Amino acid sequence: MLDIASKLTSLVKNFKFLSKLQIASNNDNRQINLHIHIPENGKISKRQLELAREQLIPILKENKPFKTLSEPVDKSLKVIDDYNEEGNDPNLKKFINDNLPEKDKAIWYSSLILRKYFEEDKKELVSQLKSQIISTELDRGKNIANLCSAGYLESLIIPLNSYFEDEKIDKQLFLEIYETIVTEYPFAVFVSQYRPYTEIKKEIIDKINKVKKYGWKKVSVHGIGKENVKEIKKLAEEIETSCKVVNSVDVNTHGSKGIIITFTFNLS
Amino acid sequence: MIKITFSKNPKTKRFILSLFGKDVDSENYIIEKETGERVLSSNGQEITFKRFGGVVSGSEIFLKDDFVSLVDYYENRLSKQEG
Repeated sequence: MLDIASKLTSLVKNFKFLSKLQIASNNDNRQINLHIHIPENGKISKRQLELAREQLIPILKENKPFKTLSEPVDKSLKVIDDYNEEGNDPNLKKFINDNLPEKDKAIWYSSLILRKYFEEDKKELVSQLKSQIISTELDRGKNIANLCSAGYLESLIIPLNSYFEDEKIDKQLFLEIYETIVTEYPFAVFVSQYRPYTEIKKEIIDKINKVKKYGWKKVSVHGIGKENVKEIKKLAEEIETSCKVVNSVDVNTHGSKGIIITFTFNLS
Repeated sequence: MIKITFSKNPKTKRFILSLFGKDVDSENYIIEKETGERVLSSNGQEITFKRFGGVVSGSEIFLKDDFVSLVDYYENRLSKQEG
């Protein structure tokens, strides 16, 4: 390891775009951290890059395993590692692994991590992670993240699966209902600052009318943040007054800054 | 173990790819320089230059930089270690 360190130290001295050489040791684990930044402005010549490459490649070949990570990926892996090192949600992860479709597993795991940091009020991290989930997984990612944050994995999906197992009902039917939950979440509305008031109100009323037909008598509206909470409370008043089927409106907090309003209504 | 971190600007990314004999095709996908074959990520998907996040050696696993892909890689790596 000392030999690698001295080779890399020499490289860092010769090539300006190699930097931050650090050698960290933790008991028997020694890690050498190297950072590479090549500016776009062309100050590093092609010849220099070629020389650095010629010297770096054999060092890497002789010293596997190694990791080469962009800065954002390094940070993301640390977030994932920290979450797993703490042993969070093992039962939920097992349930996801054993019962949910392969294409959704990583989205659910990501959403559990997102939820944990939401509960710790790490706003910036939560915002970044949620944007990433939505940008690559689109609506499905957004839906699963919302369902997870709102606790529907524990309160709905797991009990539903248990019921089907206990009654020995074909798993395929569970998966079909699961698909409906994930794509339409017919019993829940998630409010965000980007959605117009009228659109949210229409969605609530449409869902009340839809789920009634299937014998479901609750629709919950979820929101986080002062403005969203204000909007949901206003919506709740309007709908309670104007929608004759609504029996009761329950208001609960969600985390420190969120709200869940549940409309219970007649099935007739 | 050696850990290299790199800035995610294009010139640096191209240098990193060159360390592994990789290049970028006309549609901005990462390819094997010698064969032109597109490189697949840890979850079997082609990787665009924009989404290139890093390489884990051993079996030379290419990572995409989005969070869900990284979680997927992490969980699969864990399950292989435990299996």
